[in-house]
Amino acid sequence: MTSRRIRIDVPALTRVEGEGSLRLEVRQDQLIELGLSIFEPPRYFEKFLEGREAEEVVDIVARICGICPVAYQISALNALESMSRQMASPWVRSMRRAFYCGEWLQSHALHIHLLALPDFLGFENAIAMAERHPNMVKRGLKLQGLGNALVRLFGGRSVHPVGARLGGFHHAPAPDEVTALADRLKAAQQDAGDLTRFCASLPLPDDPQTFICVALHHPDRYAIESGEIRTSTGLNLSANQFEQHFHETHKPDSTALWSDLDGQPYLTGPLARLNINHPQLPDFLLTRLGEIGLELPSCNMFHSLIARALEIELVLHEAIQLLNDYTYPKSPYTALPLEPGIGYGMSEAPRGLLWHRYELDEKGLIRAARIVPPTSQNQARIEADLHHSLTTMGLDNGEDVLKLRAEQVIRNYDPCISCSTHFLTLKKVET
Amino acid sequence: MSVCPTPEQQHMIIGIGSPFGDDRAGWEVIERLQRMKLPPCVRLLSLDRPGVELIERMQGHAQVTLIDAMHDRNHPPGTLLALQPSQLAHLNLCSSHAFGLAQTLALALRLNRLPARLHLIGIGVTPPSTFCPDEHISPEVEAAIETLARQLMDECQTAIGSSSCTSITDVGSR
Repeated sequence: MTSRRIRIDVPALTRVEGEGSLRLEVRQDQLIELGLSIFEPPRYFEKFLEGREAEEVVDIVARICGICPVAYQISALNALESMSRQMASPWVRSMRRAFYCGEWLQSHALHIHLLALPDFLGFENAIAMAERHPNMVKRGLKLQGLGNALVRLFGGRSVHPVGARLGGFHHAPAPDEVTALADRLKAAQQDAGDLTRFCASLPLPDDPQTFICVALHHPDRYAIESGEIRTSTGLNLSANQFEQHFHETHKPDSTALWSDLDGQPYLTGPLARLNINHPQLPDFLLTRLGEIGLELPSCNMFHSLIARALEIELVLHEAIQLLNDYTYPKSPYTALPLEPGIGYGMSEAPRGLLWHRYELDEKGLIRAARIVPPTSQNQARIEADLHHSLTTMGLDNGEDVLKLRAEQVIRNYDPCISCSTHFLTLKKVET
Repeated sequence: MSVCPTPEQQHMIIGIGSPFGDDRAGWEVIERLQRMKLPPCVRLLSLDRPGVELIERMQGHAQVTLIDAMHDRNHPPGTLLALQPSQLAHLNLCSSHAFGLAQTLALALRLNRLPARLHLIGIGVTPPSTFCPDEHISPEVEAAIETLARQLMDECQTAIGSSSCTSITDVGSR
């Protein structure tokens, strides 16, 4: 009898904000065991936040993730500001969307070019791919750099930005800086269109699956910085109803919490967003969908790559519109007195729904905090996908083939353990 | 009166770090240099785990010095080492959060985007055991930060006599 054990083992390293492993055991071409384990650090941050002033939260949560700090900031601000009788100004709400567009742009560009494309072009990693396809990698760096520049415009810096505050921003950018960046974004639109066409032309595996999609939906626009939860099962939920349907549980082999929607795994992230909100895409992207032949909703998880490319085009377009309409404000923020109680808030991080809850006491201090990040929400779905994908592909395939497919499946979700190198260690055990 | 040099004439010194204990070493060097009187051709920058964005931030500068914390069993905390990019172990960092310095420099090399003169200085640290933002810098690393800042200052001032900031030589080890 032959048993094969496949192991993904990502060791804990300085500056790695995620840690994960996958245990996969195949005996006589039957899947005996499959266990995905991802460790995420936000749980520590929830404790760090207790006893802090509400004003401090936005800077602390920016530290949770090096790739999506804006998402953590905006979800926290949405939650905290829900405890005020006043709202942030229309200028602030528009500029927060522009700020967030920068994060989607940099995160998606990084994922596509440095993490995902080597899989589909047959390279071990982005460094190897750069030798044969330098212009493609340069395009990725250019788009990512523009996203970073947009985050810097409002946040002061691109990693762990410090510009956001309760009620708005600490500073408003100068109009000439805004115009200059808008011009650079316009100049990148051709690149972004080419990227979508290129991603759609790749021979992506065709492996339809059944899964539940969860995304924010906004009545007026493609939801990014605000909206209500909409599910493909027909639910419409506000942030304070999240806990009635979404539950987190511990699994024995994981330090992270696993989420379910009324007991079922679900998908959050670019493909879920596109499946739910595609009718709200601007006209040129609806035309693009026809041009590339992408029918939505899609139940092929490999279309996540195309979804990210389309969302790059979307946020470039959105950011250009918002920056074109830019006016220098009288004040970049409104003082928003908060009342004690519980505030709920959410937004669409590049990787998916990011939900926050804060309990504020009479002194304006955080009594309790709860953060549900997208990666933990997707864990059950990733595991279900691995079961389906590897079994459908055929467990009699060679170890390298199984290994690569498992990596590709995980990468579709761009989790924090998403890897630019091929990270599976395969061990074949004869018994 | 000093003339503001073009980016090509500038010597960019970049401190890379994170808020976690000894990993702040690169930032601390930059903070000390900011308090010193440096020639106008020197530009200082602190970056928090920049990943591939580092390639963009180095662009246009003919000379770049990168300072980063390093962990190696053979070099105790407080060691200062001048390294070549090729000496950086290609650690198998597998997160999009961790497109680390070694991979970033390797990518820049492949894309022909490394600065003409690149100097890499590692400060030996003990890796943080937990994500604790308030963790203090160890005395060994604190001393190394001070030594390196003074050495960089001396090197930059020595270079004033020439038309540009000349390369910084091996800072040696403590």
